[in-house]
Amino acid sequence: MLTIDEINNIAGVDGMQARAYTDPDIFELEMDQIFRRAWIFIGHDSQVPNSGDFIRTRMGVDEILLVRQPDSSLRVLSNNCTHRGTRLCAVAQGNTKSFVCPYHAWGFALDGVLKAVPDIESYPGSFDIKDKALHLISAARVESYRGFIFASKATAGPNLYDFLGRMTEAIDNLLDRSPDGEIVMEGGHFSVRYHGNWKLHHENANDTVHPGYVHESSVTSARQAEGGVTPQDELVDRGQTKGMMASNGLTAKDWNAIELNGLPQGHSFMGGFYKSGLLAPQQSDAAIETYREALEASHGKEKAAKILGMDRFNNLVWPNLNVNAQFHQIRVVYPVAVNETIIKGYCFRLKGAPDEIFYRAVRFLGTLVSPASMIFSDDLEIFGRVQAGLETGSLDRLDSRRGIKTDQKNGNALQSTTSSELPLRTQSKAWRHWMSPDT
Amino acid sequence: MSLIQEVSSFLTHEADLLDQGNFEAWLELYEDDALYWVPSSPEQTDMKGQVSIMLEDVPLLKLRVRRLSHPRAYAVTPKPATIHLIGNINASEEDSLVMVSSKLIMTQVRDNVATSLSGAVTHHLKRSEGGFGIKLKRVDLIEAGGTFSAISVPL
Repeated sequence: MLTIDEINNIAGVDGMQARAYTDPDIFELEMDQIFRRAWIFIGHDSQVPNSGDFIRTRMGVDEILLVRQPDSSLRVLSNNCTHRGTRLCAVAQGNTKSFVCPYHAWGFALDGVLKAVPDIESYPGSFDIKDKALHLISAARVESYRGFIFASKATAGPNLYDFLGRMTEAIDNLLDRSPDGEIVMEGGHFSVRYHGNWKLHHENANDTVHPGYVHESSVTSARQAEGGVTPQDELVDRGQTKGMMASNGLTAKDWNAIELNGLPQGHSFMGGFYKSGLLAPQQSDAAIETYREALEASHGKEKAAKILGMDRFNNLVWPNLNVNAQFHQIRVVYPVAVNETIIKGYCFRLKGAPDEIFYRAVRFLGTLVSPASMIFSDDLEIFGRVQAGLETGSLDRLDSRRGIKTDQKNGNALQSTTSSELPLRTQSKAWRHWMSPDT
Repeated sequence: MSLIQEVSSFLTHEADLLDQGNFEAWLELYEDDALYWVPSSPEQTDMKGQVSIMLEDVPLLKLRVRRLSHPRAYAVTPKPATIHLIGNINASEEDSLVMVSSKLIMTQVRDNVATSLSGAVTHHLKRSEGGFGIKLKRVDLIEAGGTFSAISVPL
């Protein structure tokens, strides 16, 4: 355990110390203090719609099963048998009535209670099958906000709604974009590994200076790309990729027009990404018109315009979720080791919207988060180079002072309209809070 | 030359161009209306409603190749060295198309780190004056569905 003074020094006001990205002991502490106590995004309702449905995933470094119960509530179970620690379930998802260990056939009910131990008569009297320590240890709390499932292993702490704060608006907006008010995770996903600390992903996602440099090669190539549409375009891309790649080529002035908002819980979001008209919301075509009409039929003209006009790009829920409501996507951060992280990307079908709207979300996900993405691969490369640099020990502290003088208080949040490193300061504050021994 | 020999020599040529980093010449092997597809899961048939690792027509392949030669394309700076190894080739001719199946092992070394990808490849080739033109290339990676590091060089 680190003392409060050490915590405050590591997450200093002007920047994090390098060892927060390289020291395995600090990583272990982060797993205990943050990923086993704060609200960690686990999955979406539509992944486990029916009783007995489960997915195998991770909560920090712990392998877990998210299981739909017969009473439709949700449980997060450890995927390790309490006998020998064996991984119980080896498939990614499925439907079951119980979890039976492949090693000695200990059987657990859907709620994690131990039900069957072969040869139980050989155990001493001190062995009690009802002993809670023999149940699959589950997260003490599992809560959902409109289908977004989070878990915390701490018995006490803020409830999910308070933890999310204004980030509920991003989830609301994503739901509101469905004419039926319902979304379904669909279309496959990506899982991409980078050699770097987990914090680097969220620190990059709302950084408005890097795109002009890191993504220059894709911006330039997209701008220089010859026009011309092949017969395959309708099947492949419908012009999306070039537009997305070029959109990172905003001028410094455009980037400065983007509002950055940092919430006290560590979350942050960008607003105004589309002001310059580079991306879809201002465009229109047959699919968008059909979609808009469906949305207006559900919500009325005024509200539909407001829903479609909500212009927040990366909505970072600290520590592990990124919601992009406009393109119906999420990205999830999975720490693996102090210097290794996995990012998974998923998209949603908006019920009641034309298929074409879903296809665009699928394409957006592919262009942005595929391991072969011309955009994301450069980010991953930079994360690797930051990690490699920090591991040399040459830098004591990273610098996150950009824009510090322009941060403005907006209620209990911070706001900036320069290309500020405000999101880094917001995240570092949350890190200080959760890592502190008294939290 | 037998069909297998013809096809084998064409696929080897394609692999050599990729390993030489001669992506412009590699692109010239593709017909104007070609499709290049690396599905995200085995048996994938849906191009629109399911994500693909790569799904590109010729204009997008050109864009990708243009980026590969950009001096600040960091993911490929320094450039990886690759070996595209082709084997288990089968081919049959149906009407105007030659349908080819093969196996690919691609090993990449960059910054002293070696990674590899393996898969089953389908080519649909059209006979043309100089030999063949690629109408479709589909690579079904055995790693599909799992966790990948960044893929920067075409398969």
